[in-house]
Amino acid sequence: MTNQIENLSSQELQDDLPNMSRRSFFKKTVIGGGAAMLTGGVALGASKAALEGSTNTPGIEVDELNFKPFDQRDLVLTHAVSPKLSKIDHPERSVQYSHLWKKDFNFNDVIQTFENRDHFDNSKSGYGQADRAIGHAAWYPLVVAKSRAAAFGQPNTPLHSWDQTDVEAEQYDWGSGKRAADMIRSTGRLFGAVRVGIAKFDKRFVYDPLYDMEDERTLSWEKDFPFKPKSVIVIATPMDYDNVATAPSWTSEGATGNGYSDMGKMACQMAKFIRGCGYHAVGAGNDLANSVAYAILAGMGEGGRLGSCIMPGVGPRVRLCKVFTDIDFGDAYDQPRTWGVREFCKTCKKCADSCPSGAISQDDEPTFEPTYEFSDEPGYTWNSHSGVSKWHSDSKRCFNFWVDNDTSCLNCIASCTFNEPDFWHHWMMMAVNPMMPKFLHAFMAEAHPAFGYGGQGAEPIPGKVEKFWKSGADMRTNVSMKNNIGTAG
Amino acid sequence: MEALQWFCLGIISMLTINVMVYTHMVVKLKWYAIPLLLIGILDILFGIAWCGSSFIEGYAQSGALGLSVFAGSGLLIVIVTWRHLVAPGFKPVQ
Repeated sequence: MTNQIENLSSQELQDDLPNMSRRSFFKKTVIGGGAAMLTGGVALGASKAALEGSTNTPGIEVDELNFKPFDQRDLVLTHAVSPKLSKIDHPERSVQYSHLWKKDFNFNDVIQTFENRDHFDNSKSGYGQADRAIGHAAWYPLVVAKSRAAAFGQPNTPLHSWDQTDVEAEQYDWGSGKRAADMIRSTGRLFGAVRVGIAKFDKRFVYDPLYDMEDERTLSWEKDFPFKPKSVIVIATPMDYDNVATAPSWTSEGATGNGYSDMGKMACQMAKFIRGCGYHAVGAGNDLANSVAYAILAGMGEGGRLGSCIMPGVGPRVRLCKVFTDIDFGDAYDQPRTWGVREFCKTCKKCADSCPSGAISQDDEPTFEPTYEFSDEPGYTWNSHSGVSKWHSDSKRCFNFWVDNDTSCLNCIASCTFNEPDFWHHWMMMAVNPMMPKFLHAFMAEAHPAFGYGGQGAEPIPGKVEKFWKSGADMRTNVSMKNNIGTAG
Repeated sequence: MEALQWFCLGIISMLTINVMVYTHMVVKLKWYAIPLLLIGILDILFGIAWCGSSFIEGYAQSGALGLSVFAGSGLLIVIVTWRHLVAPGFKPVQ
């Protein structure tokens, strides 16, 4: 049959056509185009609605019987930075870790030289002089501002000062909680945020007591904090896709340090803005509260297997800072939401597979108690927040790899299936994810590295390191408008 | 660049609609041939869009694989539908 059609001459075919008027053809084309536009519009609307997330989620599940707020002294980084905590109060923690993992390891000793050893190797991809320098440069604003300790949990650093003497006497009338929230979000956007969420102050997810590593003393929310907070503004600052993709190299410390510097800047600016409007405000980096928990409460994303808040569009590739304030947003607070991320994490496990230290859980389901190796040893789980439903990571092992690697690691973030450049086709996958059956989750997780994204291993991928160093080649004119979160629009 | 890509896709989509309408008027299609053709064509357009976007964002591997997987499967659907459901509708030479 096909051959017969191919053998038709154009004249024969013309003769054979029905008597088709231009008017009829045009009319049907317009109807077809209209139907296509309508279908596209409906699909776009449905995608946007799906990306708003569903409020049909408990947000954070806690076991009320075993739950209590987390003591900041049990944060691995706080414990490591404080000589008192690691060598006087709890020397047994280093002894136990060394014994169980058969290595000579002391939390406080190893952090003294962290990222300051002069041992770069220019022949090794991702571990050369420039790779070291970009990390140091990225952190430098925080160092200059004497606020780097906020990354380890130190409260009341210069950028995140508790000083409230500059609160304006006259309080600005926001008009409504909604308008206050809109103005806060707009200010956050101006300062460089990619997401701004607003949660009610929840005493369950602050560190209590707080710990001042410089003065080696605990701080109380009731006696020491300068005011009674009502709200927590959570601000997400982006990390560059191409730089994160170089993990676990020293190069990737550029995204980490830059994120922390942005956190310091943005939280400091937002707190100052609020004080200028006549309300109390204190900015925070990693200090004061669990940033991930508050981001979940603020409806910005879901808690993933890797322990980060995974947000639609950017995945876990963000850094979080917070501003505590006494503004009452009324009924304009955000609610926890779901995009099917947690369900996806149950199958995916790419972060756990790529973790060089094996710190991330391989369990199918989240648990209220840690289940990682040696978690049944008395006292070994001191760093874990029991009573919260999550995939509990052994952050001691994660920290151990940082020290061995002499820089922090972003492998879990880089390999996450939700970590993708900011482009429409990735947003579309995010929008359809909640409707996907479980067997397709496994397929999607495998397709991600097959398509060239993620795929991190114990060593950096040389091609990705080189790709990052070339990513700014067109920046003189930047016609693709590529920005520092991986968007080319 | 992204806006340019959407503009090009819009033109391709409109031309596709024209061809579909023309085919529909020339050949008496079976009812199930139209959705099959539409699925195939949408799949091809999606593959092209994915490919273009991936190249713009700098991930050629994703672009190449996206074109193969999405546009390839779409092309297969269109070819099979055309051969078995559209082509027989053309009046053969006497």
